[in-house]
Order: sequence, then C-alpha cells, then structure tokens
Amino acid sequence: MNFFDALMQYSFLQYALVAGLLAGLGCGVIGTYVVVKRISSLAGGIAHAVLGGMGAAYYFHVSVTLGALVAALFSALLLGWIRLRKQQNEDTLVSALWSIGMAVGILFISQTAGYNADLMTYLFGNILMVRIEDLYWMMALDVLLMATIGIYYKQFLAITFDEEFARLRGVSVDLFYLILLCLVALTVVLLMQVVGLILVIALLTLPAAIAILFVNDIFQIMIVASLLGMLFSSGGLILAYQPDLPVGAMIILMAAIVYLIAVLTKTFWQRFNYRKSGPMLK
Amino acid sequence: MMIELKDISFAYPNSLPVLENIQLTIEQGEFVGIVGPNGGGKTTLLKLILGLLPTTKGKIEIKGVSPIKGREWMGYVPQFANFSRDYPISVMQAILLGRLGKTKRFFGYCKTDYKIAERVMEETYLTELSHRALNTLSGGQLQRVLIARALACEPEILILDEPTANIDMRVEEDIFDLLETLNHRLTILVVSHDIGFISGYVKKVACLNKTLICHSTEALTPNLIQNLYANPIRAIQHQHTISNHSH
Repeated sequence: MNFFDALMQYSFLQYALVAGLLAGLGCGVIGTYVVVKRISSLAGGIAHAVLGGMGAAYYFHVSVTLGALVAALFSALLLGWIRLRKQQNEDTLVSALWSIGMAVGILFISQTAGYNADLMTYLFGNILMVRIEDLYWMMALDVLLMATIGIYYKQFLAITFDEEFARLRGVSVDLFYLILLCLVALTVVLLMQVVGLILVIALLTLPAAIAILFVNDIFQIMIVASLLGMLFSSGGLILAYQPDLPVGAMIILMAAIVYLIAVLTKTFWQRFNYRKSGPMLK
Repeated sequence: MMIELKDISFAYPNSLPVLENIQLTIEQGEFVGIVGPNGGGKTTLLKLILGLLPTTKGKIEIKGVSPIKGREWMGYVPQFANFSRDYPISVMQAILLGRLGKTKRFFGYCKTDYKIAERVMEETYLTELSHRALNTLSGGQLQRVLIARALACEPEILILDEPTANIDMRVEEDIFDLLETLNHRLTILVVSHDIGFISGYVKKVACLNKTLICHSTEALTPNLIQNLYANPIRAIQHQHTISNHSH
C-alpha cells in the first residue's frame, strides 16, 4: 500500500502528518531567532536536559510531556541566568547541564520497571505514536509561540539585532532574553514529539538556516522556514513509510540534504554574478 | 546645560581606575569631540553618560536628570563591532528600531513612526536604499543607517562612538559634513581616536587619557597631542591632517 492510500485509511498516519505540520510551524518561527542570535548550543543544552524531566515523570507516573515541559523551562531559565551573569565558564556549564540532564533521565528510566524500551522513543522520537490529545497541546503551544512573537515582534527584533541599543531605548533586554529562551524550550518539547530530543537541534536550526540564505527579513525568514519545516516533516514521513525507516532520521536527513544544496546553489549563484557584474562594493 | 559631568572617577571591579576626576560640561548646540588614545577610557566615559555603567564616584546629569532618565533625549550611534553586520534586516526596519520607547508597546509601528523613518532617511541620503539588506551596504552607508536610527529616536543630543573607524577618508568627510548639518539643530558628542581629523569639525575638544587634558580647539597644539599620545610619530602624522582641515 502506498503512503497516500494508507493516509486515507489509518488515523495514526493522519495524526503523524498533522503533528509534523504543527512542529514545522514552531521550528520556523523560533528557529529563526535561534539562528540569528546564535544560541543553538543553548537550545541543545535545553533539549538534552529535558530527558531528566521525562525520566522523573515516568518514574513518578505523571505525564511525560508535563515532565518534559517543566524540565525544558527550568533549564532554559537556568542557562539564561548563567549567561546574564556573564559567567566566564558559560560554555562548560552548558555542556555540563546537557549531560547531567541525560544522566538523571537515564537513572530514573533504569529504575522504572518494564519501561526501558521507551528510552529510544524519547531519544529519537516516534511520530507514529502521536495521539489526538498530543495534537491539541501542540496546537496550543504553536498559538502561544506565535502570539508572543506577534505581540512583541519589535522587542525581539531589537534584542536579537543590537542588545545595547535596545537597552538604551528602554527595552527590558534581560527579561525578553529569558522569555526567548523559554519559547525555545517550548519549541524543543514541541519538536521532540516528532524527531526526539537528540535530533531536535537540526530541525530547529536547518529550516531557518536555509531561509536566511535567500531572504533578508526576519518575518519572511519565519514564513519560509515554517514552510520548509512542514515540508521536511511531511516529506520525511512519506519517504520513510514504504521502506519502513525511522521517520525522525529521514526528516533530519532530508533537511540536511536541502541545506547542502541550498548552500551550494547560493555559492555558485554568487560566483556567477560576481563574474558577470564584477566585485560588488562592500 | 545638556550634559554635565562632575568629579567622575571610574574603575572596573578589581582593576585600576580608567577615569579620574573628569569635569566636563556640554552646552546645548555644541559640537564636542572627545579624543584620546585607545584604552584611554573614551568608551567607558560614553557608557557612563548613557547610563550603561553605574557611576561609582561623581555625578552625571543629562538636562538635570540621571543618565537613565535622560536616555530619551540621547541618540546613540555605536561602533560597528557592537552588532552582527550580517543580521538579516532591511535599512528601513533597522531605522524603525530607533522608534522603540516612543512608539506603541505591542504589535507593529504607527504611521508617525514610518513618517519619521522616511524623514531621517532623507536627511541621511538613504531613501533609495530603504529596502536594501543591511549586509549589502558599504561601510559609509552602514554608518549613515546607524546615524539615521539614532535620529529616529528624535534626540536632542547625538552621541557617536568612533563613527569613522571602519570607513575610508573620502567617506569620513561625508559623515562629518552630515554631522555639521545636523549640528544646526542637535548637540553632538563624538568620540574618536583620530584627533587630527576631528579637530577640523568640532568646536570643542576634550582630550581624554584617564583624565581630561585640554578643552578647546585653539589649545590643541602639536605639543599637547604629543603629550597625550606619548608617541611623536603619530603626532606628526596627525599634525599633517590638522593643516588639511583647519577651516
């Protein structure tokens, strides 16, 4: 049976497709800031620390998604605080939190009888196990992300472009920076449903990184990156279905290949223009 | 009185003093240059005036109030190095950011903001570049965008940190001609290490190397420059530039 016949028949595929589209939206909007503000290592730290919260939630039999959300927000605020205090060893602290979160998660999972097989699902995601309830909160997260960005678009633009100037214009730079990290944390949890926490960073950054090569406005980059995110998640799902491959890995590979092609195209295009019109005044 | 510094001394935590006993008064309509060698405390002094650093000793007043309250009258033009030049933003959008703090808090900008942005782009000869991406601009064009963004704050004082550090001589003159025009309605404070060039334009020079050494353009003799920099070769070079711009 090909993908599209199966899609008509099985609700789990329909849910998977919608989940992919919802995740694509979030990764496009927030991924744009992660790329221009160069905070992907912070986002990586948040993503991995989340395993601690998920493991604990599993052990104590509460909602794993809730555990992930709490851990993501906590680590985002902790990392933000470290950066705002201008710690010399920020880099070390980010990597430490990264591993500590995973260590805690693995310990909790190992002590939860009968659930060990699910570790792989957390690490690499399983979009095919998304339930309809998941779609509701994913949708709610998307609305929250976009509403926040929409209302404070100017402020986020100002703090990601030129912090010092934003501060002089009366923007609470530190507050908005922490809010931005919290939005990144929420997006990480959103994307984790689709590709798992190890692959989150690629899905968060690659669509925006591709868009930035061709578009020069934050709002337009968000739109292009969201469309690309949706394309990758649904494309990965379609490609993985027939040969029965892991969907998360297919999504990331697809994003990576398109990124590579985009970079090469841009380079050749610039060389071509350079030869045609001579060096541009820089 | 626009800016008044009384007995300012400053040291970063656990290090030697950067500034000592600075007295400086800037009147409305003045065009003041602060010059001095690198590491002489120029940027620190600006940060104190802008309220980005807290004053630990002495007092700074902007139109009679504290620097943080006085920010609303100050338009700031930072050094190039302070932000990423390849940030994906158009000239228009970058200039509109100058409206923050004066425009509405939520969502986009008002009509007045766009009108003001267009007006300052005209003033800085950027109208035709308004949709260009920032990363495609030349050094001189980028400098004009930063000036335009500061003007969009509708300031009474324009404060510039090394405005000509990254651009060539010819464009440097354009920038200072623009500042001269703006000086008709604004008080201007420029910080530069290029003492020779600046003295052709500004009406008052303050030489800063931890303390303020002298105070007016007339008093700026080669001898003083030499004292300030403690480097005769540089002083000779600059002397040459002074004679070019002694109008």
